[in-house]
Amino acid sequence: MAQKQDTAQNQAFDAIYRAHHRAVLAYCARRTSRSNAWDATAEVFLVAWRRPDAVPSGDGALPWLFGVAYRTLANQRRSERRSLRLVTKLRGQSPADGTLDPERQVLRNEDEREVIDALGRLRPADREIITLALWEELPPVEIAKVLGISRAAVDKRFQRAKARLGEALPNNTADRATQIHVEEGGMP
Amino acid sequence: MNSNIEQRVRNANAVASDESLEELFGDDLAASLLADVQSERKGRMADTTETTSIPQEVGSDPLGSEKGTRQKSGSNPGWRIAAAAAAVVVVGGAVLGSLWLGSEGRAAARNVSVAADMLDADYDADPGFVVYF
Repeated sequence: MAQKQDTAQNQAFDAIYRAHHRAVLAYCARRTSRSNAWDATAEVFLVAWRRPDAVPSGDGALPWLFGVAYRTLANQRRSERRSLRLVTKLRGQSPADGTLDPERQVLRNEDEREVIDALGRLRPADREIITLALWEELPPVEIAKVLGISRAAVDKRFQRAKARLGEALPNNTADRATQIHVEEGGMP
Repeated sequence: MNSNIEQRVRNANAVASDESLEELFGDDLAASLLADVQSERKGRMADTTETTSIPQEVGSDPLGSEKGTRQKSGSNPGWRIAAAAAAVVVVGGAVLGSLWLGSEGRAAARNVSVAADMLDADYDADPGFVVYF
């Protein structure tokens, strides 16, 4: 009986893993360094494996996994910041922003770097809603599931975050002039 | 105009395709990632005290209605027994330690008193004599 349950659990996990491991790995890789992304993704699927009852079935699985990844990365960043503070204290240097992988930033062109820098200056919640919409290309209803907020709140926060990003981006005067415009019909 | 910002953000996506993901992690990422998850799982299963919880941020609504539950070590009876045993050992050690220190302290005070009596005569005789403890 227990063996049958284990088999069913493993099959359910395999299905979730096969369907979503790339999306979760990409989600993490867009937000942190290569090695941290790998570790965080392993951690996310470990959570899914150990807590199969918590994973929603069907379309709800991916937003749930993103939600776990979001929090796993936040925890990872917190412990990194602690280590960074300690290291900089010992070296007597000012800490660098550890939110984006410097190695990868070197490879970017100037415009991409500007965008990444501007995203880095946003509040984490603003950055997350923008990247979920434009990098993960999640519809608002799924972003709402990831962040645990209502669909209406997603629309409002996205518009606000985009306006703030417009302010943070250099050479973006045209956008700044129109940022008060709120699109009807919600997010893209 | 707003779509200009959106397009710029989309262009800045470092992992925009499966190819870029494979470039970053290798072709066999599915198998090697799964192997890592499995080995981590085995490692944690070997440690029976470890529990996997859904990570949560302080002050945030974890996953909407799908709230994660963090297992508290205090809710496990095994931990309670271990904590009680540790408390008994600590309190017992403190009591025994203070008794021992008390007897040692009394002995030390007696020794100082005897030494002071012995030195008293010399001290009276030579005001420049200094006693170092």
